[in-house]
Amino acid sequence: MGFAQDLLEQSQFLVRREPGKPKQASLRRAVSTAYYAVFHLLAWEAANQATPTSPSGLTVRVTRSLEHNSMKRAAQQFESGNLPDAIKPLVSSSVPAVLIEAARNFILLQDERHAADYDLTRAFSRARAQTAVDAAARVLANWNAIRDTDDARTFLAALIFPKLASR
Amino acid sequence: MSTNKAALYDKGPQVAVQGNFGDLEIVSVDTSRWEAKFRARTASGTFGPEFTTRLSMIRPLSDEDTGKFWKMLVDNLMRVLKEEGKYPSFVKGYEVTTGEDSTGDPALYVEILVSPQREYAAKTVDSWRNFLDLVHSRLLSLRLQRYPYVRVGEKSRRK
Repeated sequence: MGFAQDLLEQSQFLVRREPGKPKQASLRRAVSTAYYAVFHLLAWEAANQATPTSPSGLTVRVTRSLEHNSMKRAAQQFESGNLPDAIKPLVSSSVPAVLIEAARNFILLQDERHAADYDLTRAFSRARAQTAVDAAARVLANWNAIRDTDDARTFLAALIFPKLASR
Repeated sequence: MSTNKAALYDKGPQVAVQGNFGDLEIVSVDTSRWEAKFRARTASGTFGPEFTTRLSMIRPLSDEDTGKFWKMLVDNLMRVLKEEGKYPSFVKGYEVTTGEDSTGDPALYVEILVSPQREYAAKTVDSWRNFLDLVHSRLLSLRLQRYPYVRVGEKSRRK
């Protein structure tokens, strides 16, 4: 989680960098970095779970194959509880709230990241940026509590194998 | 066989019909019952009968999928939350828009407006987060065909 944690700390620094009138660049980079903190956490966990320890470098290469779009769709299924039949028997009847929150924040952050990086038509407020950074912080803070559960393992598998989460 | 000319030429009841004969307009939204009422309306102001649709059946880019409909839906939800005593005082307003999200999927955006400050305490952000999650969960439970994105904005920075 080291890299993800470093990214989170950078986003926390950027969102508070200018106490008076924040620069748009700082707020937007804070939001974008917050998303990537969560993305790299989940990507690494998913790839680590799916690959053997040898050859070295395989896990990192697997993380490069992840697609943001299909990860979002899998996260939406976990968040809504509307899981495909292939996955349903693998998760508990009530998915832990922390996992649902992680899925939700991943989806929201992905869209915020896109707005922060590409949509310059509207100014980003500090309140909006701070909420995004806070969402990422919650995912990282709570992940250890669920990472060894079957629900989390199935969630990670769905993130990395899109067909597992398709109907 | 004689023709009943009165039946041929009489205008009959003046009722609007959707399509070439009238535009669809939203009448009401009830998030507690998961449904909305619509009716057709002609340019001359004639109304057709009301009909009820499940909120989950309203497809993106359909005649029902209008900005006014989504605004009424969120208005109704906020009214319900007020009645339940779950509408916090920090909410200074909200904005409702629709569009496509970063992956091109249909999206509903709700921006909760708060008063701007130089910095925000963690407790303040937590209280926002709780309300955002509540609104998001309620919208998600309606199984809408637009995914709801609920976020915070600052009121005075709005145009």
